[in-house]
Amino acid sequence: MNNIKGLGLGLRKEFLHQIDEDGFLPDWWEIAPENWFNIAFHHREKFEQMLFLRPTVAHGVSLSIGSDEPIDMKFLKKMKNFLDYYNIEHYSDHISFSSLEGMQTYDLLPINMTKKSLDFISDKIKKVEDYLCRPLMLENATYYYLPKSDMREVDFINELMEKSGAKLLLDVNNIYVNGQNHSFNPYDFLDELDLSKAAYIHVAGHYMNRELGMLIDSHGFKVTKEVWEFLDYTLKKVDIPVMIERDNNIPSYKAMQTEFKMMQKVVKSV
Amino acid sequence: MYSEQQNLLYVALGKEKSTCKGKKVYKSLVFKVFFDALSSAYPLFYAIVKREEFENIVREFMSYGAKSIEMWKMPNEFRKFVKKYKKFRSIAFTDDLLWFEWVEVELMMKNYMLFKPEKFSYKNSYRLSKSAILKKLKYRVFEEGNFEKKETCYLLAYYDFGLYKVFYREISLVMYLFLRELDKKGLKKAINLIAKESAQETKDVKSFFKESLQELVELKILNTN
Repeated sequence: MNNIKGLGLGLRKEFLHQIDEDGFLPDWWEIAPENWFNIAFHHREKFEQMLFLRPTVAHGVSLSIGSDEPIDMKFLKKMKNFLDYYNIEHYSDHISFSSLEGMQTYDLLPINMTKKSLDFISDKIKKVEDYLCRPLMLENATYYYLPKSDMREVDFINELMEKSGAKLLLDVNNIYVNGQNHSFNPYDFLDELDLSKAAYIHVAGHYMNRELGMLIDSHGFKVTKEVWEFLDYTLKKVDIPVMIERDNNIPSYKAMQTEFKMMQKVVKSV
Repeated sequence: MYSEQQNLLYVALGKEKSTCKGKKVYKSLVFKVFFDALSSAYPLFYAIVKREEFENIVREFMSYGAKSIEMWKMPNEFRKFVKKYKKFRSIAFTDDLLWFEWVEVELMMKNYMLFKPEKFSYKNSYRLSKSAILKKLKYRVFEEGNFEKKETCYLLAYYDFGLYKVFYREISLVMYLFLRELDKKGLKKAINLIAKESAQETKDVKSFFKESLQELVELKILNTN
């Protein structure tokens, strides 16, 4: 990725005003663009200052690229305006769907991993890229239920990246969580993944929901030891930027710095 | 593929039932997203109606379908949904309370252009800024512990650019009518309206409102745009 190197951090409103521009800053920021379409007055100056100080990538949740209906052009126009205004070159979303018939779930739902959906999604990716005038990256998502599929997830991702030309936002936490929930070895999965298509890496936290009997990819807790180890393994196979994604239970900026140092340690040890 | 996606989405939103454990996980996760967003947008309403009733309304709203892509706007859809269906209004002051709580979110989240207020002058023409909203209420929902008190009252809600907070100010009927007219037809017609209704000279009406208008201009509640 042009201008994105080293280690990144998700920029969140919750700790925005705790950031000292002369103190600790990551090498780059990742932002959730939908959360900044409307910038509250008291956040605007600081937000823009942070974007001025560090290169920034946008990672959305509402594109719904996997839904079996056309792209919402009104949304896409808003996204393009935002990305253009802040001169953000890199934009990503998830291999999933989040809405249908205009109804929003505000969550990422799994898609059918079939040859047919592969073609359909690839076409949608190209349309999005053409409209936005920038490449699209897509993240491998978690799933707690697997809809009817005639392909293995790893094959689906590899073929989707190949066919569409999109880059992969490699979320190692998601692979780990899926491995635990669906009884496969995340290391084997990674070995089969075409890492030449990976643009950058997400690490995040998860928790065990005893009631549901599953690991939940909440992005609301510290990164676990197992995921750090998995990141270490991944970085031995591919040398790309890494970042911590935290979306819920946002701690203080100081606490995020501690997690960031852990990430630094893992990256340096490789 | 479409019907399968539709079924999963419907189950996640509670529109359809399923025995599939995996689909039920999504129902639970999506509910949590809605519940968290709505309980934090409407903490007073949540506290008053109690958890069980609040959860029921949230579930019905989910299956009705939220359309806002930007999640912060979704609580306004919820407010309109509750207003539309009487069965959700077990307490009489629901509409006023939800408006009172929503307007804080709305005024906090608006994209404002910063402008330097000029000194107030009757020579200028003024409108209510985007950062201010006028409302006639039936209940005193802005007074903690007094929500149930039925009394027509008038509120000016505004975003304070210095303190970065939303404030609510109870105003008189005269001030409410004056600001409403000013916003619709301009300052001169607002002065004329009050002069006519109160049988006063326009110069006396101007003198009466001058200090208040100066303050409203300083607070950027009124602007010349």
